[in-house]
Amino acid sequence: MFRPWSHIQWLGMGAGLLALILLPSFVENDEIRKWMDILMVAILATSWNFIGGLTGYPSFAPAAFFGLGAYTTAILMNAGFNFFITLGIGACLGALVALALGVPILRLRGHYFAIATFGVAEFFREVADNLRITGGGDGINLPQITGGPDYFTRFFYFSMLGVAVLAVLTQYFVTRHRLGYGLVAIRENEDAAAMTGVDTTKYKIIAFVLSSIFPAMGGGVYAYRAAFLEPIDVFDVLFSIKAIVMSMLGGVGTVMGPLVGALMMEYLSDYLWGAFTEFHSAFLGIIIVLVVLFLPRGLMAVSQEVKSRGWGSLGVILKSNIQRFKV
Amino acid sequence: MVYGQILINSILLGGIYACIAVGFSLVWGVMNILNILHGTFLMLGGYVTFWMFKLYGVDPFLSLPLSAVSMFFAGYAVQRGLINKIVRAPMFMSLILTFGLQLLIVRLAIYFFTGDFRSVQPSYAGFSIPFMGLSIPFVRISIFVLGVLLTSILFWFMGRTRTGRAIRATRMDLDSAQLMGVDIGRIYAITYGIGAAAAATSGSLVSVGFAISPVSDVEFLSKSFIICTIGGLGNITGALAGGLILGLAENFGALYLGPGLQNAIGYVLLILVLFIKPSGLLGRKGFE
Repeated sequence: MFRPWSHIQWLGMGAGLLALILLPSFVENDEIRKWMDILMVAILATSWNFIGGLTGYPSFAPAAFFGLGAYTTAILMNAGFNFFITLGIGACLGALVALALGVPILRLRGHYFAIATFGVAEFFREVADNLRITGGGDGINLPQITGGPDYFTRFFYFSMLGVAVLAVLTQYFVTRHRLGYGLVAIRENEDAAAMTGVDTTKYKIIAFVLSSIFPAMGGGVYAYRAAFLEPIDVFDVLFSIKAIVMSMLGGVGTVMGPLVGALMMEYLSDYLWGAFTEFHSAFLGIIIVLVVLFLPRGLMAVSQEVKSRGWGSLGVILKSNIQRFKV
Repeated sequence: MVYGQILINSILLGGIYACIAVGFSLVWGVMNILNILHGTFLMLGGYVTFWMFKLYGVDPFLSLPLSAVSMFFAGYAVQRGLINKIVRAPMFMSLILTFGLQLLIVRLAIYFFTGDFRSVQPSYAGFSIPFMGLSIPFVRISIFVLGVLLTSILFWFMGRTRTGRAIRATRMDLDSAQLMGVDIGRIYAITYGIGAAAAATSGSLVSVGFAISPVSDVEFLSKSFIICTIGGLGNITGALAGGLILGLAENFGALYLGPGLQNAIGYVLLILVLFIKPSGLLGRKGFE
């Protein structure tokens, strides 16, 4: 089901990457910042796809690892560490925590798994709220980056882009590897997968660890850029929700899906209701409802059906989507 | 003496917690929906009571039925119009759907009600009953008694009425219930409506003893998560036990670890129970 990309697809991806690399040479700082946000949610969505999309375990943990990475960078940079080293340490810490948590949590299925991961994120927030080293509820300051706005906007943009490329490439190689097939087998039927020789526990833990590394790094970049962290900002369940919804919008379980979803959602939402920032979460809510009802398998699936049946059948496809799961 | 007072406070709090979680447990147990809107219905029910008191001076305990009935119909409509469309989809679809509605409703609530914390302050708010040297706040004990009473009514309804039986039959086996002539779409909508009404009732009670704001729904929702996981799904005793355990753990934890970590204790408990016995302490097999 996961064919290696053809030369044309690789060329397309390369062209996309080149465009992203060249983008800062052509547009204003505001536009660069917008793309940085897109890259950030693309990192979250792509990472969620490892555990939620491929393995079928609905994790609410992205916010937990995002916050963990953000606070790691904040604390270590205040102790004098280099920014890129803190990103590495944050990634390792995220992986270790995911490993330790994964062993008990991944025994759970369905809603219990969702609740446990949600509980982990909320627990981290409560802890960050109360520790002295994190600055508690008052928040924590980071060293300001030196250089003008032109310089640091690009600095953060390219850091975010680097993490995103790393996440996407990892996902590509995982899905074209034995591991990816094993994960999909777990999603389709875990008991059957175990019987055919998939070491389900090991595979699930690997997926969970992979899904925690990149949010931790993204959180680190976010922290340095924001220069100030509060527990309620970075351990926000909305980060997890956005990751899930963008994966769903694009198409769960594919490499391109989360990227398409992140791009569509952030860019369109900015275009359509950039003026109503106050109601951003309300619009997000409406999008979520529409996506769940009409695009449960994502835009990619719909676009494939449209390709084979023509645009005229779009209405029929959407209608069949909404009638698929009703009682 | 301090311990006695904390014990009493814990039990009173635990009763309210149980009341908060009952509707959530019902919806989860019957339809396998993790209802993110539960806290939102609770918050809206609290606001019904608050505005009735503020605008018309209606006593909070008298506006309880209004809050329950209005949220029953709201919940019925949500289930019939939206959730029923995807109820057979992989389970986290309904979770995400209710989350989307939650974002929308909470945002509107902040717009219309403002983000301020509100609390109903009837004339008898400060009374307390002396009891063997301890003091029992009058409002809290009334909330406790009412909460337990309403939970018992729900228990009776589920066990003894025709609709209650249909709900239980649907939970046991959806297809067989349908073959026996149960209108699943309607039963699901009624169940969800009852869940919403139970949430609204506890919201009204909470608005008297505590304070509510549009964003406090998440707090009550995560309490419901914890209580249902500790107690287990599928029975109302589970919700009562979970509520009491959480109430005790929070109050005694605050005493020993400091009030700052009070909320963290619940999450530790949640993860511990999931680790040791994922179906909950009193949960029955097959309801997870």
